[in-house]
Amino acid sequence: MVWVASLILASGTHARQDSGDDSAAKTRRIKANMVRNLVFPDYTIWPSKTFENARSPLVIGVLGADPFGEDLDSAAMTEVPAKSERKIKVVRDADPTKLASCHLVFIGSSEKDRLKEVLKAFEGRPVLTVGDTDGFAERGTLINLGLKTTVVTVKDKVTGIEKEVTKTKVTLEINLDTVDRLKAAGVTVTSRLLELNFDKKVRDEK
Amino acid sequence: MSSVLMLAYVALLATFQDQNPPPPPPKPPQDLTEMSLEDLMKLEVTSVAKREQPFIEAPAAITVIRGEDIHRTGVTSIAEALRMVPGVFVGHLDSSKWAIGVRGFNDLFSNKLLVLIDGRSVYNPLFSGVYWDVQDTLLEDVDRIEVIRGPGSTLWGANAVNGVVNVTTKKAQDTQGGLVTVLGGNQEQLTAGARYGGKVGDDLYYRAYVKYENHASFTGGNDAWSISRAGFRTDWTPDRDNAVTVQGDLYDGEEHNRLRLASLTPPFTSQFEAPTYVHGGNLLGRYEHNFGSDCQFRAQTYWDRTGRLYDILDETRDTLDLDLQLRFPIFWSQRITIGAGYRWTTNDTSGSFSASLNPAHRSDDVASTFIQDEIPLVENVLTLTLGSKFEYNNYTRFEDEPGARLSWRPHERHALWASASRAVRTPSQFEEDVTANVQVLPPNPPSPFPTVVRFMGDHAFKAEELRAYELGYRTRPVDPLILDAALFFNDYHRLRTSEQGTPFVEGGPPPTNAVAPLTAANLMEGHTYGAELAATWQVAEGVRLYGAYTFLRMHLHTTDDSTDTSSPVTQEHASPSNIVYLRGSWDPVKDVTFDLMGRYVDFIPAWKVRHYVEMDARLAWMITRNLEAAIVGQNLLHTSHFETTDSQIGNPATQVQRGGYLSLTWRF
Repeated sequence: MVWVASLILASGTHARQDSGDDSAAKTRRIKANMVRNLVFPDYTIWPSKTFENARSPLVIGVLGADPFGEDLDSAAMTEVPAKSERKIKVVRDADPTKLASCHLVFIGSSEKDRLKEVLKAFEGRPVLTVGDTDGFAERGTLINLGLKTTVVTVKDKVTGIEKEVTKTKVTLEINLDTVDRLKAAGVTVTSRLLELNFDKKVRDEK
Repeated sequence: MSSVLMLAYVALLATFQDQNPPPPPPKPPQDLTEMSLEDLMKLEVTSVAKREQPFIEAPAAITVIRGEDIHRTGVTSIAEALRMVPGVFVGHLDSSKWAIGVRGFNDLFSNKLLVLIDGRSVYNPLFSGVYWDVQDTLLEDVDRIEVIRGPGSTLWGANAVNGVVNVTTKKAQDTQGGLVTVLGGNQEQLTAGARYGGKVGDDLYYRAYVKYENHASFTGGNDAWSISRAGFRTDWTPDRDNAVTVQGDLYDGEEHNRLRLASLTPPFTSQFEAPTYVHGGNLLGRYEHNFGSDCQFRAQTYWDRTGRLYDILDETRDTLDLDLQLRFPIFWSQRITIGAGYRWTTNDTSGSFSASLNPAHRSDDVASTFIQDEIPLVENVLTLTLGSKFEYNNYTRFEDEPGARLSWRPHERHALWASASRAVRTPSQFEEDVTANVQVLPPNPPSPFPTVVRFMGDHAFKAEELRAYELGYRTRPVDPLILDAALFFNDYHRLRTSEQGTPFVEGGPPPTNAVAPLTAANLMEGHTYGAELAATWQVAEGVRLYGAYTFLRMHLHTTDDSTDTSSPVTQEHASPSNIVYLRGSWDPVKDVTFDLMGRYVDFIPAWKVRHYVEMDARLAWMITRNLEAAIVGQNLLHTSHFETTDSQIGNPATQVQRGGYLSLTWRF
């Protein structure tokens, strides 16, 4: 048993990247980076009134249940000068009014039942609303993240053995009425963002 | 200068480019923070939804016999299906008995092969072997038979020394509806089976079957036999992450046997002819839970009863087994599998002059645990698997069986693997407790008494040990051709011998006799080596060729203190050096299939069995979508031939004879 353990440890010191994420962690990181990218000028043009000065950060707020944890923090911390000279800050709160001056607010699934009141708090304000819960886009959230899963049978070329493989993609939905409302509030969603391959483009449900 | 080198490198690369370039070198984990929204949206995260059993992906010498192969070759038993696997010797001893071994050591009481049916071990610890006549089910419901040559000890523990045969039946959801099959011929006189599968709601599937088979004697023998069998299986999947299986079987049969036994009265041998009654049953439950994130749990428990009554040595055995397994990933993409198991087995025996056990009633238990770590050294290219099984049994106390395997995938179409492992075969009840009067020698003047040659078990008998080293290569150079090769070197220690003791005269009731005692000991060792090749070639649409070649050499010798002069020679030369198996499958017209199977088995010196070539053929016609008729010919080239010699307990080998049968299968 001892030699088994020492061999495991020995192979462990082999310098390798940490590629041990499982699929759930990988999709979480993809979503976190998508949320972070939404505040970049490539996708959203902010009116100057949303910044105190030229060095003020872009603020991403997380309301309620936070599905990203440190994934969002590390995405925010990584500076991408080519995309934006501003730093990105992340704040978390359970009270929507406290996040009213964020540039983007991610609304957690915990807010499902009171989404209407939450969105009211951001009405008319230059805030991008983003969620990842079914139905949020139809109810007024600007962008909703979703998952699309397909199961594929893959046949190993040499052994001929078939394996079932799940492929997961993160999808986006957009509410076009909210785009118009944001325009009225001074925030312009770029054509680059509008031309993304959205899974669904919806309008407010009546 | 550097640009010249660059050009040379590119040119070199270009010459090795083919239609299927090697997989790109593993990328460093993508830096998501640098990607645009468009690129992030294109990313696909892959995860293996369902993990196969570990050994399928394990780098080892594995051959999978699919249900379709069983169906198209027309074999009528699991034992016979094993003929198509390289590295396996299959000898039909008489109508109901088989001598089967992997990489040598293949007699009726072949003791180095573990056989499992749906996770239930059918290995009998009485003599450390398998009674093939009762290991059966409705063959149409067999999903696959996996044969692993080489020690499967890490996962299956002791006694999976030379190999493992793992039979898996189809899930209940894959055997829905009714099936009736009937076949009749001169050898397989009648086999009739019926199965019905249905479902309850959307998650619970079940099936039940009955089967009756009746086989004729071989030429010159008295070995006709018949067995009735019934069983069921239910599979319940309440949701995507949970599965529960309950299954069971019952069988009852009668076999005719003729045995040549030793006797104390002249002429000192007697012919024993009496039926053997076999019966048994099992009940198995299995629960699998998927935690997500590649983490799975499995619990299995079963009860098995097997009985064989034939007046020489009756045995009824009950076994209870519990097995738990957990698989989960850890840092650096490693996958750990851990397991724990407990097995309790008890039997009742009653003996005779020829063989008896002392104690006649015995219980044994084994507790085991194993751990396996799959370490991707280079993701998808180089994987190291380390593991060990630890057992505590009441025969030899503690055994550990470590193993290491390395698999290398340098190219999409080539896979290499290597392994080193240790395996043990724990003593059987026979080797510890038996008293077997195997032969009686007539009085030899000046001795006035006949001499009984008596083999006796010894509690000091130790486990046999194997250290195995293997190398393998699999390739699919072009899509229609698959080649699979394995080389092995097996180093054995403490193999069983029969040591001669000092003869003595036995007092007691007349007739008085002398005894020449033989005691079981572990004084033989040696090595075996060989190669196994298998090739599959899809020649054209509807034409497929398969070939398997086995090469084996054995070198065994006793250690200095041994007085056994026969074991090395008999074991060493008790396997054929070469076996060839060829099969051609052809679909000549729509709804008609034809299969031709040929085999060559080299001569077996110790058994004085000549080499032979034989052929089977099957022609089938789908009369309607639900009705298939087939005509099968077996052992067509000769009227009859021997495949083995008499067994150690006196079953005379009978000749396998030319046979054929007609079958009808109706599905509804």
